[in-house]
Amino acid sequence: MPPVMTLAPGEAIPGPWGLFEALLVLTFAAHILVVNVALGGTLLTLFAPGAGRETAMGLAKRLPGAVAIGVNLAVPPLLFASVLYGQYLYTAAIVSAVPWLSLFMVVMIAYALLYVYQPRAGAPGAGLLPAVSAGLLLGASLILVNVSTLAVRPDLWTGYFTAPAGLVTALSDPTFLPRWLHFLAASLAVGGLYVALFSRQAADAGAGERSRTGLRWFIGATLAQIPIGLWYLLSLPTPVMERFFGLHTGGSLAFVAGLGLAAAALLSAFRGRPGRAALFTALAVVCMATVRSVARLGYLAPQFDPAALPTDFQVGPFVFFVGSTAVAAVATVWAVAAYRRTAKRG
Amino acid sequence: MDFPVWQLGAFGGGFWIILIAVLHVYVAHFAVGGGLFLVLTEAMARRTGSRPLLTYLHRHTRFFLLLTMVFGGLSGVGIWLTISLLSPQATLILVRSFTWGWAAEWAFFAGEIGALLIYYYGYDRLDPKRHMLVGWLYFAFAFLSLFTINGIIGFMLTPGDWPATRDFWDGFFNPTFWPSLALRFALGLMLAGLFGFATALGIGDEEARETMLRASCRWAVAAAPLLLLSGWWYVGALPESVRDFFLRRASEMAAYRAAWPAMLLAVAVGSLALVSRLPLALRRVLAVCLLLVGLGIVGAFETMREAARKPWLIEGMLWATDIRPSQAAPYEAPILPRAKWAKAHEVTPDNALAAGADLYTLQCLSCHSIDGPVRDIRKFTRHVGAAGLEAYLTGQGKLFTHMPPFLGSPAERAALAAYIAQDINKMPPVKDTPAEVTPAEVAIPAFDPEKASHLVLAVGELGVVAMAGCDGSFSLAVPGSGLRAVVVKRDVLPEAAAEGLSVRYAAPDGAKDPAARLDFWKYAKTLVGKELAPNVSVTGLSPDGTMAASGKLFTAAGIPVSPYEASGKVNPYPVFTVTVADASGATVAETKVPLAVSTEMGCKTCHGGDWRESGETGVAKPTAAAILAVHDKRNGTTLAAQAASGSPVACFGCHPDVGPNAAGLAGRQELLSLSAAVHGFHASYMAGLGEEACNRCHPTSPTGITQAQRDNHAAAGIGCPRCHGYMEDHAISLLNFEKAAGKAAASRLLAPLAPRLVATAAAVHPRAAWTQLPDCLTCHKDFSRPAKDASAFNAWTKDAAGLFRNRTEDTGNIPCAACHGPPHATYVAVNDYGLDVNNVAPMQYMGAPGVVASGKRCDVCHTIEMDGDVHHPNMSK
Repeated sequence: MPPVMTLAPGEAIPGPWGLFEALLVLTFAAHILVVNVALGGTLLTLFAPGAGRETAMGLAKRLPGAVAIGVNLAVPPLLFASVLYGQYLYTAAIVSAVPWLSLFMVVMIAYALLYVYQPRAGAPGAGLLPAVSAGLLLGASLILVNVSTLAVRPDLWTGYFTAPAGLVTALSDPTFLPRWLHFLAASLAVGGLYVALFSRQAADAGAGERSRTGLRWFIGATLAQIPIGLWYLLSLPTPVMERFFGLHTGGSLAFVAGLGLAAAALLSAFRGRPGRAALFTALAVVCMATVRSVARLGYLAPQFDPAALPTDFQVGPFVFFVGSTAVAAVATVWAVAAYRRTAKRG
Repeated sequence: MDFPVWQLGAFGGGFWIILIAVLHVYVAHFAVGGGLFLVLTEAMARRTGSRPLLTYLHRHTRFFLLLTMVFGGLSGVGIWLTISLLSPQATLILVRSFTWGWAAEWAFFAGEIGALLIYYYGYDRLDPKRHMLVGWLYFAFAFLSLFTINGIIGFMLTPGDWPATRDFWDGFFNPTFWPSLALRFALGLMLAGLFGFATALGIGDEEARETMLRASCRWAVAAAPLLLLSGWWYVGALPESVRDFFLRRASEMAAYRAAWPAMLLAVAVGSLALVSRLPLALRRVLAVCLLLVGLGIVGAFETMREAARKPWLIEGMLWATDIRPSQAAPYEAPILPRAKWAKAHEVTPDNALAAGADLYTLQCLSCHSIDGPVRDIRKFTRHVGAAGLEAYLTGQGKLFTHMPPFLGSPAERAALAAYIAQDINKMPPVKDTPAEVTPAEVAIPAFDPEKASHLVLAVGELGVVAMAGCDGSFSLAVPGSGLRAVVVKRDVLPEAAAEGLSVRYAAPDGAKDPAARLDFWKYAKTLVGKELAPNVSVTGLSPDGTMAASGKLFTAAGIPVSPYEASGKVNPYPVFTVTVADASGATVAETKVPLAVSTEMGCKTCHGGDWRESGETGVAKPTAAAILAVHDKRNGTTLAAQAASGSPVACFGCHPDVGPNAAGLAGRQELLSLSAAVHGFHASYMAGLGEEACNRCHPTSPTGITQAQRDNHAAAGIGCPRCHGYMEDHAISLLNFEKAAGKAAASRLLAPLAPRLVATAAAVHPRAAWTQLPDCLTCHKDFSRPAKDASAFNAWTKDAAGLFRNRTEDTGNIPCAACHGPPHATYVAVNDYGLDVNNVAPMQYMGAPGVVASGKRCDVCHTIEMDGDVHHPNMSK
């Protein structure tokens, strides 16, 4: 009898844990970048709509799509995190069930409002719609920070015994606020970078200025990450923090590389090169997602190690996934390319 | 057990998943069928060159995009969030077993989003050919997304070979994969048509509008038969047990099964009406109605699918409570110590309600809200006290498998029952207050052993005639008591005398009008098939009458009796007078005999309601109605309606019963005997109990109003199980007989029962109700005093002739019961009604209670001293 048959359904994972961890890091990085665009972009329609609201209109055109893609890209990291850390993630979700369940409704309303806002972005006084959207998206970010923090703090779950209706929070965790501010600043930075990127391609006279404004937001928010990031780092439990100072080789390398890439992105932005800044930023986010992964393992050690999960790898389904992804990617690239060609023509 | 349970109270029972899932499926299926609708409509518009149609389609695409991506996309994520909250274990199983399937579905979903955004934003920019191709891509990805999800969802209902192989593809291409895919795709086509109506009605150009309405109509109407056929295919692909549950045993499903084709018909008819020349405003209303019907079709389908899966979330692997069977074994072991998220880890006298709350959270809340819209627990339990709830929990998941079995120890079961009764339903705990019994005063007739020429020994055929007393609802037994008498002519060698003698019986004053308070006579025609004058029994006897001579015995079979006096007083022991007269009419002997009768059946404990009479006895109308409702629900009968219309039925009219109170009706021979059906059904709910199980339904409780088990066995502490077996043993003996007779229902009732006095059900000897009963001589070997731990269980009389009540002593003249007393009231018989009423014959003839002629009192009949064991061996000991 194969060993997996002796296990209860759901105990074995269908592949080596490292594969899932890698997929989790990569898809989370992609998700967080797009979500940064969605939230940061929504905030910038309020803070930097542009003299003739051109920036706001440019963002309004793109934000619903960003939310749609951001939501879509939320699925794989949620899936892969569930595979590896379901026991922790689901428990955290249940003890804070009320905000967790409201998450999709909050995002749904924010998303719908962005569609309502889309054709009205040029009108003065249209700021209320993105303001509500931004508020809701900020709420969503708080919910996610809450559950993510609870998922690595089993000691906080005991709140369930006094609040079993799903209202436990991780507000008492010292990382909560810096973690959320870290995300907020990143959103403003990436939102600004996104403005710089799409404004750069516009042909009108104000495009250059809009692009520079975007880069200024990127630079300012990224510089703000220095104190915020330091605060976040210092708020981590010592055994976790030490992982980034040599205790964990991969974690330390990713941390240093992430800082270096962020610095390179800043430098590129200073030089007015949003494309290069975007590339460095994306790589930095991958590094930071790795750091996040190493931190999570540190929090859960030694009680839990995903490497100890039994494995039942079947090649066929994996090929099915890879093939599906390739087909979807090729089709999407073709469709986008066809669309962009018309944009160039028109 | 490993995860905490989100304590939702009123919103428990799966409210959120029902709400979110039904709405999501509605939109998600539209996203598939609607995708095909987009490209085919575009093809039509381009083929005909209709500008209004192309303009319409652009608008429709925006609506489609907003609905499917904003609501559909987000609610899809919402389902993930919801199931991880409500069923984390199930989610983990699905996630880990089908990770790559979910991941592939995500890729298709990503492809959908990309294609739809390009389709919409590129509507006027892409050349028609490319635009159409993007549309086809969207549809392909949407269909593949459905294809993938369909495999995983179907696995939950029909895992196929997966449990044996753990192979992804075995679970994915499970037995319902293809019919489910066909049905869901057809659903998508129908919804595309229904949403097409909604948007097409907004077209200004009349010709284009009518064209689109006709096109939408074709989609909706064509999908209806496809849905019907694929539904039929789907049901046919279900495993036999699931199909049987869905089609026959899940009575809750009947409405949905009927509604499904009705709603499909409504869609077809409504769609045809929409393309008629009705006013536009009316058509708009109709379109909205059709969208709601479409939602109803989705909701009904999902509800039926979920119900068919009961009691599982994942068939055979995970119960609806999110607990795995392997995790819970052994089921009867305390579960609280194993429940990681319970506050209480054991039941103590001080924490029973709190522990019950933990158990409710663990085992009930996932399906039953508290005062909420989904399967409100109060609706199911508010009429029942803790004892009844314990019975429910004991039987849960045994005969009716739509619920998982209760997991936990008897103490935990009691705690949960107490919590539901006291905390949720606010019922005060029931105290077992002894009935207030006034000792009976019986004027014992005089007997002078010096002068008496005759004596008469009279005895009731049964220890008690037990009825339900709810004849307006149903009849379990007709009111009639058997009386037997033997007249002894005293002499040196006395003889049983009959010739030239007549024996009359007479009811006491309070018992001459049993029809005053028993409804039997009102409904006699419908119950037993003949009109009866009040107070005349099925056998034609009245409360006063003459006994028939039968050899050396005098008998009266079916004297009408009632435990209610005309005044309303409850008296289970009406004492009849028996008078013997010679040919001249002169009285030669006289005695008295109680004809015990009772309506003390505690059906109310589990079926709700209260006692019918004086707070002490009788099955009240609401209780009877609840019993009939259960019978109807589980057996497809219409007994409740029949009773409500004034035509109640007798249980023995269908279920064969050869007992003396079945009016001689044959019943339907293919059905279980009444005794086997009643004991067999209830044994699953009363497992693990002692004689208190018997006392729930028989009038034998020592604290009840009847106290019918009053014989010397009771006084010696020998309870019912020593002779009859425990409830389970007893039921198995009856069911084994029925099974051997080829009655299919016996096996179903036997399945959950485990015997307690022998090792296996097969080791329980079959016995026929009423004719095969425990044999006294099993313990009283050669009429001797038995061993202390002797048991008469599992050695049945061969036939009715071997029954204690039908046997005689060795001379063949005197029935055993004449000297020993009736069954369950053998002398010395004692209860709160006093010694006299229970021991009339010994008190009359010996001046003391005891077996007649015991203690060497041969002089009761013999006029000289006697010695020897003439009547039976060891009698002189």
